[in-house]
Amino acid sequence: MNGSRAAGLTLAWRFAAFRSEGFPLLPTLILLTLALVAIFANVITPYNPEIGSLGDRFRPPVWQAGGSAEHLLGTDHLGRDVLSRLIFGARVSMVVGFTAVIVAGLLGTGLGIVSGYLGGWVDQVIMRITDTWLALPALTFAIFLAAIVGPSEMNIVIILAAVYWTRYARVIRGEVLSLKERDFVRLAIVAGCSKRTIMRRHILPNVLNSAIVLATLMLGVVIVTEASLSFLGVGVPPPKPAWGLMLADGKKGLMAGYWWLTVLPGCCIVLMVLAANLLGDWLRVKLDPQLRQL
Amino acid sequence: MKFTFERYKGAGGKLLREKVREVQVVDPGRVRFHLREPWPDFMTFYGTSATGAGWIVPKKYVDRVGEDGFKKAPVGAGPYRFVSFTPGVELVLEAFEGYWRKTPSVKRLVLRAMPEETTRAAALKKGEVDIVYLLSGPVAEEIRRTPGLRLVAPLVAGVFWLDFPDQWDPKSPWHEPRVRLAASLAIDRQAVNAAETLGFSQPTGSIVPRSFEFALPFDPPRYDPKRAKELLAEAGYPDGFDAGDFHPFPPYFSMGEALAGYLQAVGIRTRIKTMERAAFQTAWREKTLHGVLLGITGASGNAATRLEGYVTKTGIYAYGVLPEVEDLFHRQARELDRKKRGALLHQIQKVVHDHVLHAPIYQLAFLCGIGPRVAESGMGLMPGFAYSAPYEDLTLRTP
Amino acid sequence: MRRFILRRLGFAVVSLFLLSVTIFFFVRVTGDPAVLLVEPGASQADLDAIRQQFGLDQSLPVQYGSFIAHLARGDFGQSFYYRTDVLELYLSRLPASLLLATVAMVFSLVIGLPTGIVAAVRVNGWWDSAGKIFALLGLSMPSFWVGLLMILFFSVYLGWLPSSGSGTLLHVLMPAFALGWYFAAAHMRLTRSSMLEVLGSEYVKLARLKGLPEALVIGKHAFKNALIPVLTLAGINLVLMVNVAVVVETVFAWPGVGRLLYEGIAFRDFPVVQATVLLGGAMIVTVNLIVDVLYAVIDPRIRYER
Repeated sequence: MNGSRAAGLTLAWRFAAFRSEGFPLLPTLILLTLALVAIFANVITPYNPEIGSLGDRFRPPVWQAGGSAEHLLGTDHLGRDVLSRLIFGARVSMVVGFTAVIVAGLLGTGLGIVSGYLGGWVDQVIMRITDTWLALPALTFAIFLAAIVGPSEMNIVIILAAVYWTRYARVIRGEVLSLKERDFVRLAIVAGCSKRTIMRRHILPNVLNSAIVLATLMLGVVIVTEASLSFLGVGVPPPKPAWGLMLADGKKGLMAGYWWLTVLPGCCIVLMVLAANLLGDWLRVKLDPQLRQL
Repeated sequence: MKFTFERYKGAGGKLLREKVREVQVVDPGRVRFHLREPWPDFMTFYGTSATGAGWIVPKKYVDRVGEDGFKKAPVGAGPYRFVSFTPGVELVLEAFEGYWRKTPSVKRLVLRAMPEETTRAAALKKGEVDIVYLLSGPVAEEIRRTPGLRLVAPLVAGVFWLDFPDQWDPKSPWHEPRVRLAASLAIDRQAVNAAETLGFSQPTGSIVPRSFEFALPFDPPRYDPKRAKELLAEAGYPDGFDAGDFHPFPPYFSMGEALAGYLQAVGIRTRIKTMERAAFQTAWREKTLHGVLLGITGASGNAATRLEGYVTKTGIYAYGVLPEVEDLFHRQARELDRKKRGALLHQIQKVVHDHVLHAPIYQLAFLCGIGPRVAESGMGLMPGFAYSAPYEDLTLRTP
Repeated sequence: MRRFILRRLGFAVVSLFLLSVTIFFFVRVTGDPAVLLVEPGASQADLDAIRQQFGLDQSLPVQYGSFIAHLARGDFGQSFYYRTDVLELYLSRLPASLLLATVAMVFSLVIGLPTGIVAAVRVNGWWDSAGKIFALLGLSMPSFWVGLLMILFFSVYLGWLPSSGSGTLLHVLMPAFALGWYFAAAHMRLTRSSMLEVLGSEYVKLARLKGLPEALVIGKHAFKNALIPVLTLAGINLVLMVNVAVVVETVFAWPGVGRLLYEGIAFRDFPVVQATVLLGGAMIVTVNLIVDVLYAVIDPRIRYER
């Protein structure tokens, strides 16, 4: 793990620029706000995000000429309120993002532990599969799977989990390999604990830190992938509001200068990803300084 | 010509073969068709774009290069000669000096495939192309506003309508005419018209364009969502129902979305399903599409040819048929007296209308952008025909 | 050395094999493969015919055998939409993607290398902080959004650049920048860390002790050594770019293999999708192999790892 050049990141990137090892208050607040918005979407949205009136289409945001307080952030090509769609889009992104990251994490961590600890042919098989799937770019792989099973919110979560578990497996396995040599594990073996017990009680808690860090960092990547899939039309299907889908719809109005349909959903995506990345970076430094392989 | 006829495998093939007893070559310049029974629409059917059967193909050439060779380098009887074809990218044509009508003015035509509307419009603005087909909504607006470019919107022989393939199934909610009528009343045709085609299209109540021979004009139903909800409640669906998939005719997906929105507003819930046009037509023909369909056809002809595909038993797109319509259709097909024929066709259209077999939306205005280089664009020269034609009449401005 | 190459080659072959198995597995086992392999909207008769043709009722190993046999012959099937051989189609679009990726790579290096070097040389300085912000943003913004923003700014508002299509130099600028933006950030980070590592090394310390001017130390000695890992990554990323350019190519209607993949899913042209994924994956495995071997040639320490 420490000598490998894979992904080109050999040194930890000390996050000293903003606060010296301080808690990233802003990113966490952002994430929490987004989560709250997502949970209470029904309550706070002014309009139904899926229904609009054609007569009201392409209204600009309130601060531009032609905009009105009725639609603070304007409307889209079907007259649907942009603010409402952004809010519900947060829900979609969060649900899909979190679920995919957690499922991928469970699968990847589990397989990583098994692979690292048991070694032998199990390890070989799992690692070969992991390496191959890692070689295939996530987006391409996800598109391929989506072309087979068809787009739906549920399918997207499954696809994303299937594509991203390999990132966990690789790293966790590396950790397990070094953990295996540690004294407390050796003691447990001598004491006669079964392999399963060791994996569960000794190995798992120690890799949990890394898993959490990975999960946070993965969140950003997963959300961008989901947005890309939705943009291409194989992600969350319409009329459900997903930020990526809004970008696809907004493209038509771009030429005519309807900028808000492109800029606003994109800003939301960047906001969420940025917050997740900052939090993840801080967690990485705090929880596991040894974790350089990211 | 005889060879062409026998080779034809397209949409009207079955009907043509049934009705034409034999094709006789009279002399190198004339062909005689012997019909099994009187068929007044034969020339409409054969000679216009109602089918594509009339496009002549040379036998010697096909024999020499085979069907595949013909596909790679076709030869026909038109004003332009085939130069090259890159699938999915472009088709290049060169003027044929000896064309029987006149020598084309524009020497070289390049037809480029640009499936994305924004790409087409951008190319037009930059001057990379001279004519673009099919613009809609905001993109069309933008082109209209751009100085130096023209937006033309000829009315074509195509009418959009909502098709209800499940209406022939007694278990489906669509079986109940009140439900179909509710769907029709739920739509604000004028608003969709304004949004999609900048108001140029003509809302109508019949799938037969008014300009067609034997057409019986019907006004479009008014926009009445309240009444639509009442009708649904009467039919036993006070909270609406799940109508399944909504298949808009590609590439009119934004129109489909708008229509689905109106249906949803009265409780008829659908999911938009997009697909590619050839796939859509195949699925429509094979009767594998269910739910709601946004259909359109631009084939020219008269009321009978238009109705044939969609309301008769042998119609390739018809999922079911009303016996009285079928009977009337057969009678009119044989009727040589024009007035009587017209009356029969009017009756068919009235029955189709009253039973709400479809919910017509509007007759399409085909929005196209014309660049500054073009003098005569050919748009609208052939009434009802959507595209630029005839090619030999195209002219460029002399600088 | 030879043993290393052989071993790496072996791994690559296994990876390719596994790739084909993965693709094969997902197609055959999830849902009804006949629906995928036949033209969309086809009739029941067509479905049955396809089942026959592909032997879908036979056992999986037999099917896989014929699948591999076809691939080995270069037969990736026929596109439903274009009605031509898929491999031909893919190869005809590849040059455009390579062009885009190359220009994007140039952008990412032109931006990433200098920024990374300066950030390392003036560690924790103003430039370093700015660089970190740039990197963070670059890695957080989806490349296609960057592309859309550029269209909005440079095409719609300023009218300087064409918003889509291909053909002239102007056409390639925006998509290449959008594609390269993310990688510029990655390259900057790597350059910075690589430079830091080299700057702290014995070799550089010796050069300084010898009294060489700082500029020479940085420019000649440190830079060259720091460059190696960056260029390695760049090589791998080039191929990666070709594959992940799907969305950027779609946004700009750039006629490359990414666009081809998009058309494949939009038109439900499954042979195209399958082939693009297979060929893309194969390309990456191959390039990884080449890079690994080259790296081992340059840096002998690597050969004895694992």
